[in-house]
Amino acid sequence: MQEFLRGKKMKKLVTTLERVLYPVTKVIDKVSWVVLFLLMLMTITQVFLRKLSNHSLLGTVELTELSMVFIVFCALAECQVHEGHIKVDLVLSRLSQRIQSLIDIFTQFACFVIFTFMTWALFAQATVTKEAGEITVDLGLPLYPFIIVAALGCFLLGLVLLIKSLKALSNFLSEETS
Amino acid sequence: MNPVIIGVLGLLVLFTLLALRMQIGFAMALVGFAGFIILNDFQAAMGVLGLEPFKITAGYTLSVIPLFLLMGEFANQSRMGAELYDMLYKWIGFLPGGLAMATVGACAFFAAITGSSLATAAMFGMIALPEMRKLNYAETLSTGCIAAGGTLGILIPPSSVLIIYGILTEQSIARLFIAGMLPGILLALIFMVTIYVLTKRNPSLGAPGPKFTPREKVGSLKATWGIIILFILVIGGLYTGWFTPTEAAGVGAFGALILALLKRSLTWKTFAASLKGTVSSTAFIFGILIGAMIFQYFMTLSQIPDHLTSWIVQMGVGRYVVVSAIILAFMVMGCFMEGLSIMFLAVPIVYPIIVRLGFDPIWFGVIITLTMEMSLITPPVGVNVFVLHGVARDVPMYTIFRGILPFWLAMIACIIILTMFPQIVLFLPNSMMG
Repeated sequence: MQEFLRGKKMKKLVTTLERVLYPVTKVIDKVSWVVLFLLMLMTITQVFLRKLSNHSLLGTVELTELSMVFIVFCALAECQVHEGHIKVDLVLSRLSQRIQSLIDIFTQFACFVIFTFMTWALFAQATVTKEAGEITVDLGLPLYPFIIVAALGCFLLGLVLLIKSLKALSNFLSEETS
Repeated sequence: MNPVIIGVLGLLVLFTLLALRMQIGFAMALVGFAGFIILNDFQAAMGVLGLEPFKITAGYTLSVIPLFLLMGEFANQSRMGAELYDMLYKWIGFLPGGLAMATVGACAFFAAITGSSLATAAMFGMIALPEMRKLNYAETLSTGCIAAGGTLGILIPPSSVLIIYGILTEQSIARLFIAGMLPGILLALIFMVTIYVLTKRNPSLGAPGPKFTPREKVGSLKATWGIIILFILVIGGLYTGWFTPTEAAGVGAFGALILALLKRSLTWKTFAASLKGTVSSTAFIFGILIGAMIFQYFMTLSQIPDHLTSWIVQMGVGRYVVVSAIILAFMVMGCFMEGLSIMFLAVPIVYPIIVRLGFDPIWFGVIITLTMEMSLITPPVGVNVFVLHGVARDVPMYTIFRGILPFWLAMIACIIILTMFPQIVLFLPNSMMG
């Protein structure tokens, strides 16, 4: 009975967490859409200007590079929400649901750990970059805010992975009693 | 402990994690990070972890990935798959096995632009399969040519596999793209010859389709000229050095958007779906890429690639024996893993060997891409076959795999031809301007 309650409470917790976090990842993902579209417009403008008037827009290369930071890191978490990050499924799908959940608890937690380290490392890198006063060559933009974007993207992905791990735990617990 | 042993242990742990269904990129990041700590120290490992994900993402070269994906998504929205098929159906459908040939041609073109073998297999499973059924085509031939045709896209530019190869080996992406062109066309032709020979020997496999008047043939071009011109513009622009790959991709995406708008097939909903699909694919590709780069640091530190290279060179067997063994290994891995992941795992390890043996890196990239194509259709995990089976539920998987066999042999033939005549690969990139 107690086990059953634990499973049920766990499930409720996971659902609440999903309800709080997933709308956030969805909105952040849209940032990625917008930047991608702007990148396309900027690229085509640049090509036209260069071919027609022999003029170049200043800093398109670095703006392209910096847009990539938004496009990739703002989409990482939402991609994981829909299980978009590729896995090899050869062995596991043949095992019972319970064992699958049990293994998922650990693998997804391990993924959470690595992205927590990555978040930490990126924040540390951002601090170093800020103190060194590093700026981009053409436009003189400070570099560190973009590293913070990357760090936040990894942080969000880490949270999604943590929820996936908790969800596997909750599935494992509820399957135990059923 | 010996760094090589730690490296081998790391590889073992990595494969275990993959078997436990951990996300490929995340597993590589985790093992790479842990291995780096063991071989160096925590501080240095954190340095890699803080620098590499940002550095690899904020790179100009890689911006080609989302833009080409976007071009594919928009092109997909403009219903061009059906129109391409219709055009080729009218032009070559009257030949024996003509519908299958038309399918191969349309698949090649569609897959090249959308860059997705899976979307191609699904799309033509819906468009081409019913037409071939009307003419009583054998299920083996009709499904085999769709599954095989869908793979052509990763060789014909723009190709995400070649982009990844270019990044891992620091080769020019524009040159790799151009290098994939002739082999891609060659393979499509070999597929068509295969169909021709099969139906010549056994006409009941695929009956000729109806003949069309020249006016109807020309009329069918009307719906497709836009996308054909766009393709020529993008690839031609790359070849002549007019565009950088990123610019070519931007022009391609914009052009495909305009085409979709002209056809009035773009709604807000499909527009949003295109953007969403693109960033999602970009995220998963970079998810693996970031992990692979961290893993590569660990591999370099473990000296495995160095040792492996000198060991193989000292063995003194012929260089074609070595390259055959490598191709074979890729093919075997391709039976169990998805192409991009194999690329990330294995290319950094075998690439130094290839260079030491004096093979051209561009040539090797094309050959490896061909083996990746094969991995899409080999059992037990030929993804294209699964997707096709998903669209055509009534065709057993076994039938599809049996139908693929002649095309699979055709791919082997293509690899052999390209090995004997590497000029086919290298001619265009070596004559590139700019």
